[in-house]
Amino acid sequence: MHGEAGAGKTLLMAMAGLALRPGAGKIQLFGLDPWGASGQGRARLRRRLGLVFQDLSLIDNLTVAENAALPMRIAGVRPEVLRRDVGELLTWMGLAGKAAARPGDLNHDERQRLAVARAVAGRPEILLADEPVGWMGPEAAARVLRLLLQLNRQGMTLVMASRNPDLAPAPQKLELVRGRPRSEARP
Amino acid sequence: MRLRLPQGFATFLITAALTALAGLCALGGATVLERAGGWRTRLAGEMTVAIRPAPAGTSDAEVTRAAEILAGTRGVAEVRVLDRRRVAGLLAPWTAGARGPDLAVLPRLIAVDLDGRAPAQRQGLADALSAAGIGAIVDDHQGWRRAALDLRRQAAAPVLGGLAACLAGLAAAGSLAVGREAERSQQALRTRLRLGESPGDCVRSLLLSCLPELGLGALTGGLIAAALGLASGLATPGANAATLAQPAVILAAATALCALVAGTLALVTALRRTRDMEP
Repeated sequence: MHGEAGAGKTLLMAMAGLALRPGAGKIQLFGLDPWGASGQGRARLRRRLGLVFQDLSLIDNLTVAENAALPMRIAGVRPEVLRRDVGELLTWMGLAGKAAARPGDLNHDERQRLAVARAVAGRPEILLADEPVGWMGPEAAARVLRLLLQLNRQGMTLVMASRNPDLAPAPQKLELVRGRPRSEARP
Repeated sequence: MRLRLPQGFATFLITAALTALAGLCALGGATVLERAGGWRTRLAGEMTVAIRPAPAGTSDAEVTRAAEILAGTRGVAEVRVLDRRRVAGLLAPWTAGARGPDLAVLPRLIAVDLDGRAPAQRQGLADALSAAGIGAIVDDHQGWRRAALDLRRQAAAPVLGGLAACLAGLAAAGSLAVGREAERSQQALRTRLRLGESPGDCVRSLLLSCLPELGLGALTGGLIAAALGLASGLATPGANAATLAQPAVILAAATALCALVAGTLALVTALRRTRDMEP
């Protein structure tokens, strides 16, 4: 999904990720109506998603490792599996040396990598990533994109929003213009 | 230098203080109600007969005759003639402490214990004495019984009011403690909800961060009230383990009620704040 700033990419991603409730219209996720479900039902649907928010939404009083492990902890993964997987993930993201640091101690590039690590940690069925490499240097961005595409090849649906239409190869592209797909946008 | 209390300490202190007050309120209220009830029952079980003093003084023989007539009346269990000194003691507030020859002009009093199964009526005793030519006033203690009843009514309002005020304060303490914690961890809770944590787990984590201080506060308050109650109970003549059992149960119930009210409002607030935080 691409478009100019203010086109509505972040809004659409937030609604698709059940972080915002639409005022009108309908959202279906995995064939279900999330806003017609109970809070518990919505929570179950959210656990099947991975989200990279533009504001990153890292928890300041948790360490880097604890932040990355959060979706697994919520999903009830066993502690030994959780430690091993988070260790591997942080190594892949180049954050292994900062596992005990707090998000406030990281630079923005590292914080963004941590947000991506947390989003993929729970092995989601769909990953919604809003500008996932926007603040990263070219090397880190290439590394993170490689990971995301690899997960996509393994079966995870990947939805990325960016101002750059050529960020990654995609079988489907949607361009937003003032909140609508280009094909529906009024000139 | 400003003194900074540890997080949650204020909640602990407020909960302990209000629980102690609620416990003492319940304890004091129960004691007043029980004493007034007991007093009323005892007053209802007896009457006092005052033999009108003759100008030359009432003779012991006349008093004895009156006592015999009363003892033979149906519905009377026991009759006790009060000696002159006892009467003088009882009437001292009205006789300004009369002594010596003055005692002769005081009325003679006879305490009549009624048969609990079929108690005699006031008019029956008065008629029996009148028939024997004895001038007497029979007091069935209606006035005192009414006073005891009034005491129960008058004591109930402040006790219930005090208890209600303490419970309202505890409800506020529970609600504010959870509200403060929700405010403090708002960012983390929102993120956890977005990542799929169930609202129930968020409510649980909010409660777990506040319930220890609320529970510990209620327990401490209960213990403080118990210590104060025990000190005043042991100072009462005739106190023993059996007489202290009922206050202990009342205190335990009051403490449990305080903890329940604070916990319930904490739960309600946690549910509301979590619902507000969920997108």
